[in-house]
Amino acid sequence: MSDEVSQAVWSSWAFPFWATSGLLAAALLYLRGWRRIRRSRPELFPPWRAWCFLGGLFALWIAVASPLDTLDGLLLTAHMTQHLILMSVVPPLLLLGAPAVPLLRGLPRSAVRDGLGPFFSAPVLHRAARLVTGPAFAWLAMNIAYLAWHVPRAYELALRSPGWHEVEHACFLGTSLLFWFPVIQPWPSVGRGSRWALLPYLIGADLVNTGLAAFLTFSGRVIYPSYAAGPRVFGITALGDQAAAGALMWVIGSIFYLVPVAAIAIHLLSPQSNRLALRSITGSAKILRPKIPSRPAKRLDLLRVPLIGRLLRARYGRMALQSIAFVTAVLVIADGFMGHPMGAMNLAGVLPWTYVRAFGVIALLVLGNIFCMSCPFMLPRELGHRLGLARLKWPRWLRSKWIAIALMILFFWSYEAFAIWDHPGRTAWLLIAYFAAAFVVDTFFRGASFCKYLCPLGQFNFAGSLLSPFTLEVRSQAACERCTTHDCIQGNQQQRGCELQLYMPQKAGNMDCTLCMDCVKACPHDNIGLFAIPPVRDVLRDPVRSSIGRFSSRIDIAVLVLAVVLGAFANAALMVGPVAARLSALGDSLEKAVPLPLLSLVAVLVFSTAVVAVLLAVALAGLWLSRCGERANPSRREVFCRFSQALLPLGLAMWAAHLLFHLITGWAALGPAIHQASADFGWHFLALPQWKMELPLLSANNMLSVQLLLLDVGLLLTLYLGWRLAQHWAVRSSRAVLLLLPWATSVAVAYAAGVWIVLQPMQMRGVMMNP
Amino acid sequence: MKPFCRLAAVLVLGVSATAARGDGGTMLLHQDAGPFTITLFAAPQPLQAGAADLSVMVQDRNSGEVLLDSVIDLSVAPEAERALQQTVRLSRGQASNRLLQAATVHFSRAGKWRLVLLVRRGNDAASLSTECTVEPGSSRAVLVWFYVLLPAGIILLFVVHQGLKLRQKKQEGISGTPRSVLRTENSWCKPAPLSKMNCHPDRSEPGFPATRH
Repeated sequence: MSDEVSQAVWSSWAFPFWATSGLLAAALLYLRGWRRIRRSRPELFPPWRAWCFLGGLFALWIAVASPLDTLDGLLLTAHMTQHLILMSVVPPLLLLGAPAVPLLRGLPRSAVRDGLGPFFSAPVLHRAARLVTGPAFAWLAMNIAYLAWHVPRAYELALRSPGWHEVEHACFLGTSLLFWFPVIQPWPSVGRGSRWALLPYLIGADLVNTGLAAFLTFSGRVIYPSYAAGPRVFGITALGDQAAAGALMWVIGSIFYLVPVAAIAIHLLSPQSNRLALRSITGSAKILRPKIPSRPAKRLDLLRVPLIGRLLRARYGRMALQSIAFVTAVLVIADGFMGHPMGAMNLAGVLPWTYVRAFGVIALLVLGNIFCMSCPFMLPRELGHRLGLARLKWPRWLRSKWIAIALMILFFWSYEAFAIWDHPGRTAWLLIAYFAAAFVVDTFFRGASFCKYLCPLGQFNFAGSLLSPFTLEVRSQAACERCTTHDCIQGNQQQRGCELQLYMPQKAGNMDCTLCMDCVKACPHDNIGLFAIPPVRDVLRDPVRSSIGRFSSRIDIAVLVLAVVLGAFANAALMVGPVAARLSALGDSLEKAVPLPLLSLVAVLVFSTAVVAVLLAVALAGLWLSRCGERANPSRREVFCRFSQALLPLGLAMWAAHLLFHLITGWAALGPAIHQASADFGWHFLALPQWKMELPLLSANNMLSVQLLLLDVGLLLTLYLGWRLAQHWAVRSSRAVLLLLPWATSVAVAYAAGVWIVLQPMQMRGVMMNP
Repeated sequence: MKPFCRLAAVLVLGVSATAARGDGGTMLLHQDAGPFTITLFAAPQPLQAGAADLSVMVQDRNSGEVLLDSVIDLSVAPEAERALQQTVRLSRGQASNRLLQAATVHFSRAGKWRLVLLVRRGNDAASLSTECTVEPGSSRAVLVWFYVLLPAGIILLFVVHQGLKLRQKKQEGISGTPRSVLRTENSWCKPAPLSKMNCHPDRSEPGFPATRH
């Protein structure tokens, strides 16, 4: 074999994404649990256990990602080595790590207790687990799987079909884990029957292995036709390859069975005291020690993470972000007016609609309200504040979300009616209007009235941030009780307090929070953190929130969430082929009588009102069906408000699926757009743009997978929230089901609509189609 | 609980191995041509309308040595419309198995397709052609069904979970365990206790308790 070929073989690594991610996740989970157990029972989990488990995972990764995997279709020897690792190396190593308890301790306690607990205590599953981990079942399962998959027809099927190949590997690994279970007896399992029985158990398996290996070695013909028909590499014939594979199975396979036989025999024949010591090493003996109370679980506080925390708390950190956003906005406005008139070739057509929207939604789902944190519209507003004219209070009768909801619907409508995404000039005017509105309102009114009561983008982000996994909270309520100055809301000489009137000890969740960090910087006790929370907690709980009240009494917030959810479906639907064609035909037939923009505005308003009315009817129908006024007695308003908010996960999932489509298809547009803008401005330090049709970042099927997965997660979270709400209101589960049923049906219809939308051909906005 | 922990661990680890798959796919053609022995692999098998991975191994016809520096062009066209021919150059970078050269080819429709391989190495060149049948694409439908049925499966599991939880509660109720009483209360939805201090500067905000009670 030449050096070049040898190098090619050694570089033939595959990196199976899901397997690698799964193994990494298992390793992290195990290590987390192992560290926790070590605190209370260090003797039971010495470091070698962790090394064994990690070694097992590494061996598994080698089997599925190394050249052994890529060469298995060409060389039977490589394929058999892969199987040997999966059956004889990986399982003992994993089981020596006693993985059951560390893996469970690695999970959040609530997930184990509430999520897995009911399954663990089900008698039927106990019986099943006892059956499959019994020696007789395990021996038969492993040997039957081993022999069955080596029958030529089954083996050829696995070689032909990647899917069956994966099933074959899963069978080998799964049954081998069962096989080695009685031999290793990983803690906390206790051996059943005499350990003497393990000697025939292992020797029997070795005999089966020897029989098959001998058959392969001494057969005078090639057993698996694929290897006979395929190309021969490295100068080895198909028959020679088969004999080598058989010999490998025979020799190495036997070692893996006979070494444990010898170890167990020596162990059993040794004096009783040594035997107990050995049993404690394998973990079979129960070691009872006084349990040391574990430390209370720490919550992740981003403000305490070294670099990130420092950046977030930096005095001019937010201003730096805003300045970058402001300069970008000015460039977008300038290019919108002076640049190329085609949206896909202009910063104003690409940056806000393809990039900022998608990253904004992603940020909401993985971190929080980053858009408001870096909002560029706030810088001129600061200037307005400094003029000292902000003396007026926002009128009490306008202190709700209704104006912002109307503006949001207006924005969704005008985006489509005037094709803002395709007209850079209109995008520029929109941004100027935004700057002007923020400046005017906050020049004359105190606090952040524009953000809280008017800004449609802000309201979208406030609603979306109800599902964000981080929130600003006080670290210790006791410290707040001792505080007399309340700087978090009232501010001090150096730092203003919260302009959105969120009083930290009573703040709950992310509604109305712009992550400006004013409260963090103002607090003299350093008592505010940015904590990780379960993403649905904000919607599930209904405490009295500072400056907001209870969600169950705020119809405007419920309608705001509905507008976000409806906007997601309407905005995506309007750009898929069938809907666009129908609307176009309808518009053509009616345009003579009514102007198209007016017609579409009326249609949007009628549609929105109809959907809100239907949802209200659905919620009330559930209430009527369940007649659940027996304990909690929820009002109609409460049912409507809380059920509406529970739709948020599905709505955000639809937004994410839709906006990710544009980001994935138009990901390459930004570079040429910047070059084009520089050319349009007459700046010649950048080369002329190279406009060409780029392939999407993901293939069509992968993109569809991502979109459908997002919708699935949204549906499941929405139904879960609905179920928890219904369970709270109803006394019995049957009543909860009746209460939930009409609402869940409407959720299923919305999900079906979402799936239909992502399956349709969608306009590739922001992408050059015909360069 | 312990036996099921073991079973769960075994299942989780077993599932982790299911991502293993071969490289190159199924052999479509293995033939001598000029000074070369050429083998063409295709995945998925059978070929379906849509994207497909085609890989080629070139060996020296006499020695069987794998030739890594050959230049391979692959042209594919539907039998019915040769004008729709597309030609791609194969590369080692696209193949996980670096003994092969690979490219992704898009079969726009089902039916008979003609594949022509042109292999060059130095002054040597050889050409091979074959026909293959491309079946209607089903990968998208399979994908959609998988993702649509996935929530249904999870919901079913959740229903079982809730049923088991309910049964457990009932059993605890019979045995008089006070935990069951605690669990029937949904503590998450109770309002958070208000702090003793209440120094909110603007009590006229909607929903603020002072204005409501």
